[in-house]
Parts: sequence; structure tokens; C-alpha cells
Amino acid sequence: MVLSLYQQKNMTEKDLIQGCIKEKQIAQKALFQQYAGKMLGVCMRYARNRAEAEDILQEGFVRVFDNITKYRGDGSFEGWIRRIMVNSALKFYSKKSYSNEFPGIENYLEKSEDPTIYQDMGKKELMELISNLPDGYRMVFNLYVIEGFSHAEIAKKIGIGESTSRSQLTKARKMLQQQVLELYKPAI
Amino acid sequence: MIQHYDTDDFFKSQLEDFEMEAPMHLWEGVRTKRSFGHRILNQLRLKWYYGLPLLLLLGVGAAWMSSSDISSNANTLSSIQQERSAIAIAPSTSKTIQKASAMTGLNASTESMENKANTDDQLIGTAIVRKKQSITQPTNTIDFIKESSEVALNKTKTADYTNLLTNKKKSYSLNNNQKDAKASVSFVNDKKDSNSQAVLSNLQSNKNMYTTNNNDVAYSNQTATNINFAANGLLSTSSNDVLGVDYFGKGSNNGTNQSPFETSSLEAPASLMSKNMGLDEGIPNLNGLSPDQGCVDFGGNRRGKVVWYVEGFVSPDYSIKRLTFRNSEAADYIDQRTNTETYLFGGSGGIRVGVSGKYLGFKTGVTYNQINERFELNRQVLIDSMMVTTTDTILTDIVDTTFITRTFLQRNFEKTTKTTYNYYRSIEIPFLVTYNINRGRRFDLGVTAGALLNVWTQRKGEILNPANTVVDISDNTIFRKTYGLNLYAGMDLAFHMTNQVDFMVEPQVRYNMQPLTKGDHIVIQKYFTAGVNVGFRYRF
Repeated sequence: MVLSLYQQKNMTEKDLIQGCIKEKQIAQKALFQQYAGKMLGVCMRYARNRAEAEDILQEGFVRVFDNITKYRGDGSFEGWIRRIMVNSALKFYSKKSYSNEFPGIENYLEKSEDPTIYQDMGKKELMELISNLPDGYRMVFNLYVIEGFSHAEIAKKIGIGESTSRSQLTKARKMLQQQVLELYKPAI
Repeated sequence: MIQHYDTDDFFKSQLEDFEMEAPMHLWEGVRTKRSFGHRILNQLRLKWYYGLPLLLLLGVGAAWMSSSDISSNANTLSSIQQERSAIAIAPSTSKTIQKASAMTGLNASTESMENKANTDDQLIGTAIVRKKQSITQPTNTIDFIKESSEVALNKTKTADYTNLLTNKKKSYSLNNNQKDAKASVSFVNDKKDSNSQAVLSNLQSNKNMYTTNNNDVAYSNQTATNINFAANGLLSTSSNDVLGVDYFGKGSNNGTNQSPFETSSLEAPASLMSKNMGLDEGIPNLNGLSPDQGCVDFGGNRRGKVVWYVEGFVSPDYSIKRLTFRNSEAADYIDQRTNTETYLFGGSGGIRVGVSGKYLGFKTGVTYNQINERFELNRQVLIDSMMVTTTDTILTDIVDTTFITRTFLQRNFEKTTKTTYNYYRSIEIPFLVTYNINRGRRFDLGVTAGALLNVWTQRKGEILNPANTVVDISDNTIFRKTYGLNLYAGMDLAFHMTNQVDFMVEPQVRYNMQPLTKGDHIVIQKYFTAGVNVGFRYRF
């Protein structure tokens, strides 16, 4: 296993932050190495594909380094970076309309969701399912299910109505289910 | 609904900590994307205390300016009284007087005081209006003085009386209080001695010879004293108006007939006047009237004029080194350079000559800059190495013995720290254009921009080279002999201390347009420098 600079230099998180504030490239690089993998995972959930996820990641890290002096140390640093990544992703897709992106969704089969249908799927398959969702559904699903925001918070964050957020979440769930059913159709 | 939550929990548990391998080319992208401005802002946030001297200077400047405004009022008043006494005994034209007023910065003061007089008008009476008209028609008043001189003006007595009044006027001016003014008037009236009364009566006999086309301007007691009041009031403030005018009013109340006079009939040669008045001695030359040195109006008479100046300054500087690679292989080398070199301090200074017109100016000269850095390298140094042979004896049996011989290289290292203090010196010739935003009485403000042409450089110290070895920078293997052009921008602020000397404060930034390093070096080294030039400017 290749040790990151963070581990090689025995740098603490505080050292990393201080180094980044002082614009020390070694600290910035170490911070990137430390968190890039996790954050790329976050970005992948919000992005349509890996290329867009990488763009979001880069944009997010630029914002992290630009605003690192604003980190007050009163919360988890990883959580702070994660929030920046999520906001970068939302900004990345902000020009698109989150509502009525997929008008054909009503035609999807309305079946009760069974969590066991996902059990056999690996993380990568789950990620693929999410990335196939329309932008708006994907955002709401991620914010609500993974990040744990309320519909009111989501509505405020991405500039849609609360009811729109709810309906998009419902449609996202249905669409995920439909995708799984489609995926396993031959097996059934 | 429960099923929904189960699904959500499943997704959350699976994807919350989902990680992917991030390739390092993304890091290069981040580095490239980060703008230089953002990095500078971050540095400024960190080094905010460098801005303290600038804030301090601006604060002192603002305080000085506000205190000057207060003191200038007092200065103006004293200069008014000086100028007034000079004008009271000398003929002049209104043009000269207005010029003198402009030189002493009196117009504004007179105007503001007249506002006060406007308030006083309602209380003191229409006589004020008449007196104000005499102020705004200085020529007429002076001509009137000339004629009055023919009626055997008693200079000594009048002067005494004028001094008496002046003292009270001064007290009124300082108090700026209507009650005080009235008290002053009553005081003056009480002090009217018999001599003044005699002068009054002498002049009364001559008042009928004056007529005026302006029926609104009707003077009652055209006494020598009054004339002196009028003359005194040429450059006086409303407080003087109150005194003088009230005195007019008193005369009018005493039953003196109002006699209109014609200003055109009052023309008299200056020589005749001075002869008749016997005032040759002590008459100042109004054409050569200079402003009171106490009056803070150092910049006022320069507006629109071309001014040559020379200025000397020094500046504490803060420099941000910018290292960028010509190819991506140099990224690690940049990291090494960044980690081993630390900025310590910088400074600059110079002498410039300039010419400034109404809006634009140009300056050039010579400036010296120095950037100091510390090079610190922590390394393990091999102090010795030797081949070591060890033999192990293995007794397997009573008879059989096995010997195992091992040979290995033993190296001894020592941790060392190498510290060198580097400096980069340079001399530039500035070619700067200044746009004057304000050329005021208190200060000049302008923006300056242009280029600094580097003509000489010197370096001393050590850095790492791409082969990771320490090299001397004093030779020109890595760095160029001259750095070419630098961009320069600044805010030019000059506080007028005296008629010719300014205290200048000039926050400025400089940026290397061309790299310090040679074209074949894998790293481009530039500096962004910010500082505050502080110095003095002498205007010719």
C-alpha cells in the first residue's frame, strides 16, 4: 500500500490545515491525497459520470483551498470538505431545471419497494443506478437519503418547492426500483 | 412507508462512505485551476497585520486633515484681521482684494460667515444688509474712503477706535455668538470717545456730497470710523458686519439724515489719496500680498498648474513568490523549492522626479528593491560507510560445527540542517503615469500606473536545483542578468505640509512580467510585491 504524504510525514490534521492556510503545496497535496478518494465517491453520487465527478471534485478542492481560512475548527474537517463538495455538485448542476426533467416517469410501474432486491448489488452497481437518475432526482435522492437533509432544507438549497422535493424523491425511488427490475428481468 | 426507509437506509449504509481512487492528475488540475488572486487573498488574510501600518497612516492622515479644518478656521480669522488692517489704509481694486481673498482661502469662510449674518439680519436689522452690500462692493467703499480722507481724517484716533473694535470683533469671532456680538457693540458704543465723536461731526458735514444710484444702499453716518469699518469689512466676516453695521445703525438712530451717494463720483487718484490721508508710511503693496503662513492653503493655488517635484520614499514590502512549472515533471521540484525557501522580509526605496498637470502627470527616477528569504534544508548526510563481516558459529553436534559468515555495508548518517539567507536585489527605472483624482488644499490624490524597467540585479544565497542538489544563486546559471519589465500600480496620496513639502503615502503593487529564471530552466519564478511608499515630496 502506498502511503500518502499525510501518513509519510506524520502530519496531523491541524498541520495540514495550517500548511494549506500558508499555501504550502506539500500540505495541499497531502490534504488532497487524504480526502480525494472519499470526496470522489461523494462527487460520483451527484454526477452523471466519472468525468463530471472529477470536474466537481477539482472545483470542490479549489474552493476548499480558497476558503480554508474560514474553517473554524468547530466541526469535523472531513464534514466541512464534504459539504463543500456537495455544494460544488449542486452548483455544477444548478443551471439545469430540477423539476419535470423526466416526464415519462409516471409510466413507470408502481410497485411496492422491496429492499431485498438491492441486496445482491455491489456498491458500484448501486452507484450506477443513481447516476442513471435524472439530475434533479439524483440531487434530491442524495441530499435526502445519504446526506440526511430535510425536504425544507433541500428546497432551500437547490431552489425548488418542498412538494417538488418530495415528489422527486418518490419518483427517484420508483425509478431506481424500475431499473433494478429491468436489470434482473432475464433472471426473473 | 417502512419499506421506503429500509431502502434508504440500505443505500445510505452502502454509499455513505463510498470511496474511489483519485488519480493524481486531478491534483495537477486543482493546482492549475487555483487563481493567483485567490492565493494572494489567502495570504493577505493570513498576513493581515501587514495592513496595519497602512491603516495607521491613513488614520493619522484623516485625523490631521480634520484637525487642520478646525485650526484653519482660526488661522483664517487671524489672517483676515491682518489683511483687513492692511486694506483699510490702502486703496485697491476689488479685483486685488478678491485675489487676496482667494489666496487666503477667505471666500469660503466669508461665505459661511455670511450665512451666519443672514440669521443675524432678522435680529439686528436692515443695517446689516446695507453693510453687506458695502462688503460686496469693495470698490465703492474704498472710493468712499478716499473721499472721506479729504475731510481731514484723524488717522490716529480712528486707528485707536479701530483697534478697540478689532479686539471686540475678535472675541465675537471666536465666540461666534449673537449675544456676544451685541455685547461687543454696546461695549464699542460705550467706548466711543470724544475724538471719535469729533470725527463723526466733521464727516457729517461732507456726507451730502455723496449720492448713489442705488437707492437701496443708503449710508447714514459716513464717518471716518464707519469708513474704516467698511474698509475693515472688505475681507471681514459676518461678525465684523454685525459690529460695523450696528454702528451704522446707531448713527442712523441718532437722527442723521441718510444721504445717498454716487459711487462714480468717488474716483480719486491713489497718489492724491495717500497724500491727503498721510498714509504713505506703512501702506502695504497689495499686489505682493502673500497669504498668511499660518493659513493652511498649500495646495489651493496650484490647481491646474504644471508642478515639478522630486520625491524620496522607502517602503516595507511583502512579496509572494510564484513558482510555476514549464512541464509537469517539475511539480515535485516546485514542492521542494517551496518547502525549503521561506520569505523573510522585503523593502524598497527610491528617488523620483515628476511633473504633474491638471489631470495627468509623469514621473521617473530610480528605485531599489530587495527581497530576503531563508533557505533551510534538512538532510541526512552520510558521514561514513564500512563493510562489516560477522561470523556466526552454529554448533549442530558435538563434532560438527558450522560457521556462517555474513558481510554487509554499514552506513552512518547524520541529520544536518543547512540554513542560508538569500537575497534578491534589483534596481529599476520607473516610467509612471499619474492621474490626478483630486488636487486639493489639504492633499492630492491620484492613481499611478506604469512599468519599472529593471537595469541591475544581484543575488546571493543557495537554492535546490532540479537535480536536488544545493546550488549557489549568485552566478547566472539559473537566473537572468536582468528581469525586464515589472508592472506597477499605486494610489498616490500626498498631504500638504507646507507650501512646497508634501508627506506622501503610496500603497503600491508590483509584478514581474518576465520571469527571474532563464528560459531553459524548468521553473518560472516571479514575484508579486505589495508595499506602501512613505516619504516626502518637494514641489518646485
